[in-house]
Amino acid sequence: MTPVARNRIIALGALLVAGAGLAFVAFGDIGENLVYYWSPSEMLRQGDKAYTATIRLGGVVQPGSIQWNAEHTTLHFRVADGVQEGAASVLVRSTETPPQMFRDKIGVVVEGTYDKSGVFSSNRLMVNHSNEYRAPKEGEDPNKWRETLSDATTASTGTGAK
Amino acid sequence: MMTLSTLMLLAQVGSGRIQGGWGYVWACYAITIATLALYALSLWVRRPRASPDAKE
Amino acid sequence: MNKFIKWGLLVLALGLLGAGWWLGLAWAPPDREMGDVQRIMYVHVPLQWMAMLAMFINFVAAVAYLFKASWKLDSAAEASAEIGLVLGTAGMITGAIWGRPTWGVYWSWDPRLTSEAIMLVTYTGYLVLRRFVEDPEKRATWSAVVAIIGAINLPIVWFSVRWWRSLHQVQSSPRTVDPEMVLPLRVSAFGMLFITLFFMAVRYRQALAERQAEVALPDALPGDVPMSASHNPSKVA
Repeated sequence: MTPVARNRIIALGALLVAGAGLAFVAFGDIGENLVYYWSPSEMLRQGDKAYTATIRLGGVVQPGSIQWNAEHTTLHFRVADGVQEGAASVLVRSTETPPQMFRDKIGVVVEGTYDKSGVFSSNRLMVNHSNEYRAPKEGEDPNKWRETLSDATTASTGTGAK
Repeated sequence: MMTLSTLMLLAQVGSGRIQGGWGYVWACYAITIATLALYALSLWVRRPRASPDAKE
Repeated sequence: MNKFIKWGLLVLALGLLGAGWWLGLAWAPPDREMGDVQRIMYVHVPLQWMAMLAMFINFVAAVAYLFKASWKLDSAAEASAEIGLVLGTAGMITGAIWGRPTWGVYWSWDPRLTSEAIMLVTYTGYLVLRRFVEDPEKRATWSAVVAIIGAINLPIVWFSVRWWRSLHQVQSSPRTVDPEMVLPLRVSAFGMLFITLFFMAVRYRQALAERQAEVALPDALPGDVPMSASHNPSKVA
């Protein structure tokens, strides 16, 4: 065999291996076995299996569910499958200050344990961002909202200091 | 006793907006510029001397 | 390559990067939610795009080498892998820094970050392999095989955010990004493209000079055979 023919066979072999590997990753059920996080409904469906092991739970913050106790830095909120009414949700308790992007309806992933009392104790709270990047809305020009925000901050700092 | 910065942090919970953070921005640009500059330097150090265009 | 084209590339690259970053840092509006931290986009995204481009060039050069062996293709493969690794590493570091204020963490083993890490390890391995194989022809062939198999990382990294659940968001498009942010991103990306091409041109010349010096050696080493007959490379030990 000439070196040229040998190299071409090696090339075809390597491409075949690469293609098969890619197909396995893309169409195999790797995604089923390596799930980065469970949604609330999936976690609840696991029943007892979800207890005690460290797991990740992902979803959106249920609107109106955030309860922040500034004195004890305890945060309670519900992670739901979606923002619609009646979506399955799980109560999460966290003792860390959440990232600044944290708010109602934002996507979150929490790492921690779920127990029989139905509370998910988070020791790592992550917020995920959408793929949208927008300038501040009309009538909300950058400097203005910065002022509004700093006013709000000053105001609440004032209240906190009392 | 809580410091002022802690209180400011606490006040922001639920605001959904990042304030400040220029330090992260500068860090990213500085690291990138440093990486590109160091790589350019490594190319300069490894320049072929024997070849005819080593005179450049 | 013509000297003027080479230095022209560098001037163009620095000009565009400077303009793009100025637009991004001073002219573009902050993001509604991320505020000024969003400006990291104009450095992180071009780095990652160009890393992917360089690694893709590595794949093409590797396939082409096996079909038609030439030191030029082997040198192009070496140059592009090294530059891809440098840009990809910088891209990953800037991504981690962006993650801290946004996600709340520098790192999480989500599919995008994990596959990116595997990709960087693969190309590190590729370059290490090239260092350890002394016979230029064996080195070129073996590393081409590693490059082809390692290239499956590219689509995996790209599609990881679509195939699996991840912390990293899916790709943005001009429809999901305001035009005032798209412009600085485009300008910075072209700047990064030209600096990548400049680095590649310089590194390619170096690699080619090294290869030619190596193949010129057989006169001095009687055990080695020139490339044409080396399908039976019996090393005389």
